[in-house]
Amino acid sequence: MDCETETIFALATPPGKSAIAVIRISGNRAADVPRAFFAKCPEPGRFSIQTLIDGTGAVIDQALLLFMAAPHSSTGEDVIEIHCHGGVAVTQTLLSSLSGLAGLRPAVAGEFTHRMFHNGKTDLLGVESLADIIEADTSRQLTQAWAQMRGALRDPVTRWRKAVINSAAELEAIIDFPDEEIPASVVASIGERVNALVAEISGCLDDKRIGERVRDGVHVTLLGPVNAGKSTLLNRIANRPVAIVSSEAGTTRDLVSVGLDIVGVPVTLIDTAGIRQNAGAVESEGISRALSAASEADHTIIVVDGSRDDWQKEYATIAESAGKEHFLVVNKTDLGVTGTPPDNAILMSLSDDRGFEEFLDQLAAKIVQVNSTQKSAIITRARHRQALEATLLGLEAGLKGNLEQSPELVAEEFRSAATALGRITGEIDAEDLLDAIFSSFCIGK
Amino acid sequence: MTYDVIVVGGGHAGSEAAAAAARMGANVALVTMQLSKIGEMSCNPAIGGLGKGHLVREIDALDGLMGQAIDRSGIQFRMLNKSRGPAVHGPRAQADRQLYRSAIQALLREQTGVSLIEAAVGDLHIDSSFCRGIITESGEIIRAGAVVLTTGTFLSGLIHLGAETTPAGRIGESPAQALASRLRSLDLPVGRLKTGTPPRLDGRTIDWNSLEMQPADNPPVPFSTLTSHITVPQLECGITRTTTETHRIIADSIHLSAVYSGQTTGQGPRYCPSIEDKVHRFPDKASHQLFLEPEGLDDPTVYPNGISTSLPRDVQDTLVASIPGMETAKITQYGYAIEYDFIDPRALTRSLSLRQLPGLFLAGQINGTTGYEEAAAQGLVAGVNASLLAGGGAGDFGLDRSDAYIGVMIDDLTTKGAPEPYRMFTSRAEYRLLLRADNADQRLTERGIALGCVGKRRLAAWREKSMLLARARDQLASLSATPRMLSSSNLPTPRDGATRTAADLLSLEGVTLSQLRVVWPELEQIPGHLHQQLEADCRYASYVQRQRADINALKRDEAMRIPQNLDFSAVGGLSSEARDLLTRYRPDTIAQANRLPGMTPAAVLAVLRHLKRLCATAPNKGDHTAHLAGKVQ
Repeated sequence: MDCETETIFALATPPGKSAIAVIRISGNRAADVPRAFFAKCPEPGRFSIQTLIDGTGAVIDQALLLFMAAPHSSTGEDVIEIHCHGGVAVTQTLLSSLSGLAGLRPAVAGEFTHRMFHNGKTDLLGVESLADIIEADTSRQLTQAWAQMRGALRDPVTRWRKAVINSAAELEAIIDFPDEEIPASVVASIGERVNALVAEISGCLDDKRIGERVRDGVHVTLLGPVNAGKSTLLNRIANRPVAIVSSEAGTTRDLVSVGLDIVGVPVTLIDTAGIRQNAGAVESEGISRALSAASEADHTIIVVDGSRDDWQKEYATIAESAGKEHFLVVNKTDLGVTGTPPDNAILMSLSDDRGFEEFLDQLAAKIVQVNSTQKSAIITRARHRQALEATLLGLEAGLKGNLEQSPELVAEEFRSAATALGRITGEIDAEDLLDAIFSSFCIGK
Repeated sequence: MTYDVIVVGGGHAGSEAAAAAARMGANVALVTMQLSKIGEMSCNPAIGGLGKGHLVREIDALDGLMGQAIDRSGIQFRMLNKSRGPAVHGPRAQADRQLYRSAIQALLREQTGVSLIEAAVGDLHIDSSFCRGIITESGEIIRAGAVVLTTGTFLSGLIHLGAETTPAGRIGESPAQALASRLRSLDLPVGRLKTGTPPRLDGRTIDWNSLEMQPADNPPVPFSTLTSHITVPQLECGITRTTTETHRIIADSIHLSAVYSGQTTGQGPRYCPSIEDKVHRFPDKASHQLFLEPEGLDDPTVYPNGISTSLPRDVQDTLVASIPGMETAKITQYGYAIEYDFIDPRALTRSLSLRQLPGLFLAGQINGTTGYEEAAAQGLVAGVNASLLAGGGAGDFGLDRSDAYIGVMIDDLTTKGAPEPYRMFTSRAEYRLLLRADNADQRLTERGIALGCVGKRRLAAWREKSMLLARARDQLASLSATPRMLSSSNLPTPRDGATRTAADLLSLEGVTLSQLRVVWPELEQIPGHLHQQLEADCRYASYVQRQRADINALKRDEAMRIPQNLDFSAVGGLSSEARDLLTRYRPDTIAQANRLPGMTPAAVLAVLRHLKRLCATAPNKGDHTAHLAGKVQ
């Protein structure tokens, strides 16, 4: 028997003790499973409470059984769910009994979703969104994952692809029916419409990678000279001791990170080794890691000890090596501040919490600002971005061409743009073009 | 009597099939109802156009008849899209109907190995589930190693003219009823299609002086590479338009049209609509253009291209009279619609052999196509394969979508069927920049030589041209110039300081080979008739390079063959719709499966994975899964 037509099963809830556990079974033998436990399969779309009995006549559990008949189930196959008591013995007995049934085997990772996709229950964007829904740690990630599931990218991409195909179809009509009377206004408006499309798609790409950042999380690196209080700040933010904190200079030699939920966005805050000249070999390694972490992070916070005489010089050196946008925290103001800090610096003293709220507001504002510019399409993965960039390349190259003298080259570029969009939604086909041609013009002698 | 190949039908598919099989060395019988009608143009007396002209050049590259015949009979040659890029140039010519027929008949008579037999075919001779010949209506059995059926519109043909219906293959010719019943009894997927033709006019009753005239190209460009120049005199066509009065007449009588009264059941083509269709579907358009095309040098008949109709005779009379220049024109033959049987071409392999009956090949309108060129191209492929099969070979010659328009057409037909009469367009070819009318010989003649369907004369001509082309290409690639050398040339070169070869310069828009002679006088050696091909090659070089990757991917999928006996019910993860589709149409390759309408990428992946498992013990053919997964994403 082919392995893929086998019926698969898996524990759908986490292993361990719980009030209820759910075992999911999918495939053409699913409906036979209750009989193996001397129970009856419910009617499709119904549930029933059944006593499950093993081969020796002993009761395993009293469980709720749900039956969904193909194709009206999540996988598109017959699906049975056993909602049993969440004890270790109950679930283990049931799972090992299922393994012993002919034609059944434990599912491998992702196999239910795989079948869902193969049976046409969802498309690629749907599979991706489903994974994102399950992986979501914050409310914002969840909102975005559901938006994606419901067409936040699918809808605009479908619309754009249709627009590209329509423009391509008009060009094809000009090429294939040279003796027909295609209105001149049609040709004139192609450029106009494609320009508008280019503007819209580039607008969506110019999103500061919002969607990807919400999905993957925002990385914030703390940089600063030794003993400036970075680790204390990290602990204060995380509200729990994570990094080793001591007053001895250079303790945090490696990167220490903590995951946070700031206004619904997952933020990874990375503490780094303090930067100083003449560091030992181990510390030098830590410092170079600090700088490389800062270069990959979305935001960098530079923390300095404002009570030190040379903090401004230290800050200038670090800001130069960090080499990008950052914000400055002048710490330990309770010990006095040397000189005049820049206007946009946050003055903070963690010993009495002064400036800490302002710092949190600023951090949140940075992240929220990144996320508040809502575009018409949400891009959550690199492959979406690549496809849209390829689309733009095609459209822009097409716009540079001459519609009258080289319509075949412009059409070629538009075709590649439509194909790139099709990679997100499905395949392009010449019939799509012809359908578009014939529905809009009167063609044929 | 026994032949290697029997071809049934003497239209464009039949003529080409018989000639191709004979060039391959087969002993061929062409059986048709009237020998005098061989090479008849049933509808518009014109050859070529966009996509269609490409097909004619490809037929010519494989040494077929059509290009040579139209060169001997064309009375108005025009290169469509001349002002645009060479990939979309469409050679077209009006034909003198009589001259065209004579040319085809002469070419067939000159061809060694073709016997012409006048008889109506009533049945197929089937022996152990293999088609081994035909039985004439008079009961005579003619045996052969393979049979090619090219029945055109003759299978259960039914003509509609207003409310009148007449069983006929063409006007005044009987249909092939017995053969149609035989095919229906084979339980083949048979459907109905329809097409139409306009009324013919007596040109002597048209007021030509009031019309805008369209001249032929000067000089006319021949279709065949064997023709050096056109000697047939060239005529002009007239251009006129329908009026609001025409549209009123049609709107008032549309219920009398066979197409609108519900009398016809077949699907007609969207791109060749009847005038009643045009008026009905585009009510906002106040007027439609039509071309008045002479049917011959000595024939007063005029073909009014653009008013195909099945309205009753009296309505056709008033309709014609409402058009400027045609007020007093006399109709010599009324327009009509014709419905006919066709076999769903998805029942064919890409060699055009009927899967259910080995030994039988189908070509032309019987496969749901429309147009002489489409028919001829299929005839050639079917003729070659019939000859290969009769000679003991597999008979599985086929062209890919990246090889030729012929490949695009046959692939479309065998994977998508013919929901409407199929006509070639350049937009159907995804590798349009590569598949040009000007380079058909470069793409196909060498393959034809290897196959054996290219005669001595063309072989010699091609080898000569091929050598000159290679020499010219080397020269263009080796000559290079610095910006300073070009500064006095007037060539539109970008000011980027780069040194460019002659080939690079030709890729720039508007640069021609003759202009380059200012810089390099030695280019004079390149003969003029090669210029266009070389210029086009350079112009599209960068695009073609980009398309190579796609083509390689396609070839990989084409190379992944699906065994004809594969049990799709054993393929896991297939939806029942996909399984039905695959079982019904049995695609030959993964690429074809991917193009079946209604096929999902997921289903193609499932088949692919199944095949990979099946041949897990066989040598690995490369990672197809990765490639297709890329396509899905």
